[in-house]
Amino acid sequence: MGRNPDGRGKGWGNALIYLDHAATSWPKPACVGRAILTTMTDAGGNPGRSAHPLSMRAAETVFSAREHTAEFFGVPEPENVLFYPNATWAINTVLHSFGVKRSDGRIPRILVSGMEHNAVVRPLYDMEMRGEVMWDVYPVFRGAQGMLSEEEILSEIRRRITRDTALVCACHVSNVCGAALPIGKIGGLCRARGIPFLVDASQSAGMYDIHVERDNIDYLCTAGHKALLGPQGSGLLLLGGNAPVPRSLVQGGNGVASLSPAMPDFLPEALEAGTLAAPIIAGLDAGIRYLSAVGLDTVRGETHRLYERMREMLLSLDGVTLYQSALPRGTALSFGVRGMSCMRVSEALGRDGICTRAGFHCAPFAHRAFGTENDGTVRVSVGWGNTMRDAEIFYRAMKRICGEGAS
Amino acid sequence: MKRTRIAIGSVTYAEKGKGALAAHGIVSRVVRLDIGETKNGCAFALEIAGNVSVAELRSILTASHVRFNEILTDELPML
Repeated sequence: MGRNPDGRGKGWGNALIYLDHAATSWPKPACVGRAILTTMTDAGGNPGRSAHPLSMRAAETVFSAREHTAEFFGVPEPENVLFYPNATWAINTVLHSFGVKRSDGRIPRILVSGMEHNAVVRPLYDMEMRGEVMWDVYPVFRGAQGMLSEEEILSEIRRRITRDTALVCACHVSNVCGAALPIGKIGGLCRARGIPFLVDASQSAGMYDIHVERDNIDYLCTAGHKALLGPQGSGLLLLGGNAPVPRSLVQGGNGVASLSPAMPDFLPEALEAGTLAAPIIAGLDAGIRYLSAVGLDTVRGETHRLYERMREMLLSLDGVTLYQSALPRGTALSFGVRGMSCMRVSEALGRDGICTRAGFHCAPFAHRAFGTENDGTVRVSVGWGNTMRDAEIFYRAMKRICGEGAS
Repeated sequence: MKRTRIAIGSVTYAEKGKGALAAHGIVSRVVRLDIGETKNGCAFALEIAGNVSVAELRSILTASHVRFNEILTDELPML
């Protein structure tokens, strides 16, 4: 199986060095595009609505995707796999379900990590403003150059758990610096305390071995279009076997019990309203099957070798500050160049066809920990499509830019 | 000829049930239930042609965590 079976897109040839996989992966394996097109042409009915062949084929396509996804992530049943447009939708679905005052009038508290994305921070802020929840942050970073140890992180969580703690959240891997949290250990702690556990795996799904049951995860939320190699518009909410079932963020038809005004009380239809994006789901399924065929160990091993090489390259450059975490790391590297704004650096790389992201990456806590809340960072993030040639071209460009920055 | 239909609320469970039965060598197909056969509107069924044991069907579906409502049997007219 080829490492980069799609090439780089007919229009781009080798003109682009894509280092923005933390935003979305590119290029996708050829099978992803084929699955989308085949579903549109050969299974183009509305899944779960009608009895004609196109609708039935669509339903089979969606169910097959549920089965593969459940197997890939260690989810107990295929109906515990919910398809959403993105990770944000999945996270909001869970968080808003916990914004309910308890019978004794006490407000539930939600405990989140110090490297959450705005997909978690903003709904919590909104709910707090409405008086629906209170939330606390457990620290994970030690300034700009390190992290707390696993035991220290667990201790920080234990210290903050109160009788009102209704949910613990962990961002598995930071989209800013690639830091990873010990989700299996946090899950074990939460399970022992009887507190539901949410993991945002948007930067780790498709790269790390995540098993919902083994890792004691109640709600695994992820994008489908990043390391899972699916199309944009795909996201997942995966429910553990013991997870309290959330409320649906939206209500509507789904081809089930149509005469009842209430949403069905069984999964997945209880939490999926409106027409499912069957072609997108088929594309995500193709990405997951591709990863299964290549093997997560292979994908992660090769990507991390490249990541470590690029980290060494950046560390060797005069004038570059790398915001790095302790091992294990994900796929994102954040840095700054002395005398240049992050935007100027990213634009300069862009002139060489090197795609990066500059700014704050929707992750305010990490920037406060790094002291980059005013300047932001340049982020490079590697993925399955990248090769050592990409790293070398990036390094040459950076050497030139650092020369510019110092002048 | 005997026909058995297993009424199921959603196409998800119908597909799951189809796979579970297939694993036991029982061939079925997913169909929509007719209006009047359902209590709350749209629902699906797994249709199985020929003689099958209702007890065996219940056992397979229950063990496979497939939610189903009822099992209907009838005789199809023969030419």
